[in-house]
Amino acid sequence: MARLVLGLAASHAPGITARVEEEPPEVRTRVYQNYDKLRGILEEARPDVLLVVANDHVTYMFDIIPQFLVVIADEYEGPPDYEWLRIPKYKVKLHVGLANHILNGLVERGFDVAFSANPLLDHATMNPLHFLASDREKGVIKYPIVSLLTNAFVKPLPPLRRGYQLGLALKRLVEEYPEDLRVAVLATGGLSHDPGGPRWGYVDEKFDRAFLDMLSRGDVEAALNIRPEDALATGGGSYEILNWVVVWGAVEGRPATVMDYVPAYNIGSAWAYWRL
Amino acid sequence: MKATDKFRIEALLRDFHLKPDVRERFQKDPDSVMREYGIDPQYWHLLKEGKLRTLYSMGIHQLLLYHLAHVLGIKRDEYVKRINSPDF
Repeated sequence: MARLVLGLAASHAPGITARVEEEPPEVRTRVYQNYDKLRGILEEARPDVLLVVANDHVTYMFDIIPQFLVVIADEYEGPPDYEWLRIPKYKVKLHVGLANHILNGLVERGFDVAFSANPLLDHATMNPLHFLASDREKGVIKYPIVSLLTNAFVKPLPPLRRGYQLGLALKRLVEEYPEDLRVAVLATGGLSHDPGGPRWGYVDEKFDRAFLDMLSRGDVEAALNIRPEDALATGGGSYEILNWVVVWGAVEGRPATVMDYVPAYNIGSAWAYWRL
Repeated sequence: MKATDKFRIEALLRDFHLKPDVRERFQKDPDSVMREYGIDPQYWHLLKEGKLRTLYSMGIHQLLLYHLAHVLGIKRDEYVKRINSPDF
């Protein structure tokens, strides 16, 4: 049977690769070291599959906007704006068997998730994979992935409680999958930021540190009481914490090890993990 | 603003991100591209002049406004100024 071996969470801000020089060398180094450390933790866990929980940016989920979407495809190549992001155009293999198992299981359990065979995975998925799971010379992502996309930007937004419940279901579904797989689950995004909004560049450190404190204490209820409007009051992109909460559900609300928090690149960037 | 009007404007801005040819055609002949996307002519000047505050107030998604700014060559400092200014 498959089992969940590790949870990870990391910001996915495009500026970290696209506008590297915006921050001084010591900040860049700190940001990159955090990704490197997380990459080491992921490699130690020897995953067979990486389940990535990321959000869309009103790009792929546009004509139709589901709250949650599972990608059912064999492979992907992207992101589309890789040149602007200054990362390779990666080839990604997807684990269709596990993705189908998760999709069917979620629907059976009452989660009305959408699915698509024609994915567009943007920087939210690809930037963290670039740092954590890439072979840059070959232009490939080392692990097959399962891609779960969320709606973190277009109201009405799914409550965090729903995301947490979905995460709990993900763990059970992974453990019911008959193949002997080691599965790591990665949340990307957040924390506070307002991309393209009136406070673009503003970071709400108080909000971010409070969320990370809840995470490190394992205080699930406090986090689930954050309403979408509370997060959006700090910036239009801050509800990407939804992805973190889904993964927190998948690790059953265990306290996270929060590695670092760096307000840089117009976002409150953070890195955390759960060893299982 | 009608939901359809908003959608048509947002569809163009989304395509700015994904379709370089749409970006290039808009830069050369914005009116014909906006006509092609079915955008009501009453809104054309808002896009051409980068009236970010007005468009944001009308409900155009902030992530999509960024793509418009990119096409118009509006850098971030100017962007933040415009989205906060009643003049825009």
